[in-house]
Amino acid sequence: MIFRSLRFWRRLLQCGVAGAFILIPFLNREGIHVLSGNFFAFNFAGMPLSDPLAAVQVFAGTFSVTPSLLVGAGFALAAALLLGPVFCAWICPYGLLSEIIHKRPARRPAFLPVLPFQPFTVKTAVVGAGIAAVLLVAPVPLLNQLSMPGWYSRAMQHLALYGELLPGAVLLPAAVCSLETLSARRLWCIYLCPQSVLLALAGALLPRRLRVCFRRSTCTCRADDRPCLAACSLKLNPRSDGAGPGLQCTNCGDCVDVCRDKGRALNFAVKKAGKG
Amino acid sequence: MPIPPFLRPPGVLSEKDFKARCISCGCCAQVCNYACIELTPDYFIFGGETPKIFQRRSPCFLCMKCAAACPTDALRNVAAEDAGMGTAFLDRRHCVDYQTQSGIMCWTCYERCPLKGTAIYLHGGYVPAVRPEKCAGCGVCEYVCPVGAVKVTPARLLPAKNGKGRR
Repeated sequence: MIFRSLRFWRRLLQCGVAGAFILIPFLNREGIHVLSGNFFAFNFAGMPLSDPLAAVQVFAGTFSVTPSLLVGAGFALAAALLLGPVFCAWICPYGLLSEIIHKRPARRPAFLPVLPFQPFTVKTAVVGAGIAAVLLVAPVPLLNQLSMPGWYSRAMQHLALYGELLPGAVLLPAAVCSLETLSARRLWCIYLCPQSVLLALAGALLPRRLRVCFRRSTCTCRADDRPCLAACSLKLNPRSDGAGPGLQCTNCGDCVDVCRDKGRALNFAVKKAGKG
Repeated sequence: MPIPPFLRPPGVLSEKDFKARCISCGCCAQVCNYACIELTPDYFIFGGETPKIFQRRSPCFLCMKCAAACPTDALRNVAAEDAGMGTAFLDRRHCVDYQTQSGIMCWTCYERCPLKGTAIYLHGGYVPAVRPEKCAGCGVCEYVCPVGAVKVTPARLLPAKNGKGRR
């Protein structure tokens, strides 16, 4: 039944958020300001929400941060602390687009081999380089230019306010989408997205939080048939007993969904990493 | 074609601090009732869009909603008098009020100034004049002047001596 599927609810939320960021600038234009802002900073009826990486960049550039930005980033990090980087799987509009692209038939070209780096190391290096540039070269939030949800919401703002498309908001995401289509991998989310780094790190802070847990004793799948591994669009292994699916697991629930009709060996639980 | 010297919205910090704080959230443009704030890229097409006011197209009316909405204090929530956007300069050679033979008493800049009587006052009771230290630099006078005798210099282009030039 479709309503039992986590993916159904996830898609509903993703589409709802993507639609809301189309609608909000138009409401603002009509003088309704209960909700305003974009994925860098958002005002939800007086409650601030902000991108933690934007807050870190402002701090790196000015060595100060406003209460509004701090509280907004705090909310986002607190959610990641308790639930993991769920923003990526449940809210991010680029995540939705990337997943849709990923569902296309795989065509891995020869010029794009599997990168010989740990994906999270690459992301962290990008964030480190960005922060270092803010500190040493130009005190400007440079990494905001690499925020795909940021570009999406900025594009919608421009469309509503000025009736025109923002060229950068078309060109950069189009280039990334083309690369992902060719590679049949979620390259941006796995290797580059700087916004997900702080959320993933926050998710690793608490020993106990909501995460995918694997019970090997109840798994009924054969060794050559692993639907949970095939279901993970981030190429993680939810079956690992030791460290769990890892830092990058966004709790999307795709593996839990496919396991539901099998042995129910995978499930969400508030547990320590690796404790089945 | 060179970009005209745009203004930053009211409550702006120095240009360097402003750029360090502005995260392109667009809250200022979204709450602006007069749609005078434009979000345009600073560098090429991928530069962060920061808020700008092109006073010849649509000046700021100092409602100060943008400053209140800014989550990063790139725009400080200050009184309209302390907006610090720039300073108006009135060119007496072109202002019709100063042309004794014209016989016209225009006073448009004086009448429409949001800080009427404070930033723009009537010198001797007859001719408009600007008090630079009181001027918020909103650009209304430049927008309404029928002969283009008033020009607002953005705070970032002013020398630092009078406290407004915070380059």
